[in-house]
Amino acid sequence: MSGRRRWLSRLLWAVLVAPVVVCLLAPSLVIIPMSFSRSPVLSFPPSGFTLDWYQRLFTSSEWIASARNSATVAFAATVLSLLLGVPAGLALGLRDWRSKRLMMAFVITPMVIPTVVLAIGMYAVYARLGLVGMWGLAAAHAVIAVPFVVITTMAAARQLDPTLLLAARSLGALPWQVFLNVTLPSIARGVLSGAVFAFVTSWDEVVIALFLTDPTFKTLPVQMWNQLSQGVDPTVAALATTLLGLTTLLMVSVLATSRRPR
Amino acid sequence: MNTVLGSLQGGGSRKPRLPRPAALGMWPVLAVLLVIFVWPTVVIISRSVTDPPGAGLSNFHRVLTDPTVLRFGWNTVRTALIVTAATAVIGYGYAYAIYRAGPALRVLLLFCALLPFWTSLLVRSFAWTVILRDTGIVNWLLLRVDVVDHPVGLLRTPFAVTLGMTQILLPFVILPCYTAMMRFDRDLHLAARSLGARPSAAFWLVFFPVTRVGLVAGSILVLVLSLGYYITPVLLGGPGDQPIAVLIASQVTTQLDWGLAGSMAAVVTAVVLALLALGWRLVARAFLGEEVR
Repeated sequence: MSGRRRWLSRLLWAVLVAPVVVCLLAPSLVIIPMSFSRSPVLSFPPSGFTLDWYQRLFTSSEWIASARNSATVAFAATVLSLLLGVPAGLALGLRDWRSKRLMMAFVITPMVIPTVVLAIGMYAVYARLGLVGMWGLAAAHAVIAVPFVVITTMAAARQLDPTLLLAARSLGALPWQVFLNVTLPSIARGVLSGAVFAFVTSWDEVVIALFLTDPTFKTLPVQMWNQLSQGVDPTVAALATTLLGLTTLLMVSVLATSRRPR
Repeated sequence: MNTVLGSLQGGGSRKPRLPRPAALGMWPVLAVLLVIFVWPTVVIISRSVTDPPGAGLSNFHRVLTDPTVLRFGWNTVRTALIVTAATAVIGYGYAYAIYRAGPALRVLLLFCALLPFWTSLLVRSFAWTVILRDTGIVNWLLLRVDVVDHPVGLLRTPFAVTLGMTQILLPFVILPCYTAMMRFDRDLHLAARSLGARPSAAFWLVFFPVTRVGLVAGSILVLVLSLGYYITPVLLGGPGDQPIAVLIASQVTTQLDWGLAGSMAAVVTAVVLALLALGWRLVARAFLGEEVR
């Protein structure tokens, strides 16, 4: 290819890719200036500069309470999905057994069933199981978070050489010693990223939360959803910006630790 | 002990069998999911034939003939197909741009693809309402350059729903496509070129067929996920642009018609599972790293 044609094709790619980049980033970036605007309606361009919306956000007992509820639910859901997902991921990643692929498909299904279907089903059944309030929502979120933990643990377990476990056993380690000293350290990174995914999934979930929460126990996305349907003020933009900052921080720290050389 | 020694000698090709039930670790998750996932789903689907008592297949008859259900259903299918096509074309092209980019640009483009993946769905849908509203940035730009003299109604349209969902689901296509491209053996391309293929022929006859797996897997996932979307259409669409998920929810919360809700849920779930079963091999290979046997 001649130099000029190569240059032209690069230009063409830039023209095609730039709008996609803009569309990918725009929603994340546009709300940041809006959250500092003096105007009480979200109109562009933002006018003036104020921290009022942030002050309103961080001093509102309603927002604080729902953030605390969200954190509690997400933490409980993460612990539950780790307890269930790590052994499953190990079984799937370490060994071959009959109907393994079917089991894998089954564990992944909660990710693809429409959340509305899950939500109304859980709404109909959970009260009968005594799963109400925080525990009901945590159980529901564990259902949709478990696939992430299973997938990441499985991927990590595949990298683990099963002969290492046998070697540890044949050298006299008890099964639990093998698990703590050999298995767990080798899959730790996969488990950690599964835990992060699980936490974020629960923290962000709206549809199931709308069905399983009540006015006395609201999560942050539910509170935000109510706010959005009532008519938006920039407090929501301030919250969105805060959440964006937190997730970017989380993403960068996960990327940074995963890049660490072995 | 025999089995242990045998497998140690057997070498790396087959995984050694450990002397205890291999699937033991699956039992807790299966037991718990049976109670908190399968049971609720079965209950809601069985309501389609039991509510009202003796309903039989009457609810399914309503699903297939009721004009409201058909309108919401058509919205769902139409949006899902457009979003799948748009994400396929844009996602594959974007992945190819990452693949061809230099190291620094590659990191930047990957970051741009991943950031939305990590940002809250609710936050992103809300952000699109801020962008597309009459006083938003798009209308401000259009008014500024005198393309229009009064704001164009962009929000609460099918276009807004399609745009928002395409942006939100794009990473599900970009990432598997990019993975497939990174696995592509560049020698194949050189071989094609040295045998006289023009660059376009080398791309369409060699590169694309090899990397298509990522595209198909990603597109199946986008199609499946977009059939159940709720948040984005409610925030970005008008009353006439709502999908079946919204109708299912409103049947339960306002109409208390569990039978109709259950039968719609059954249909959507069946479609989703059928699509996934059809593409399971490809999806498992692209997203779970399973080798096809």
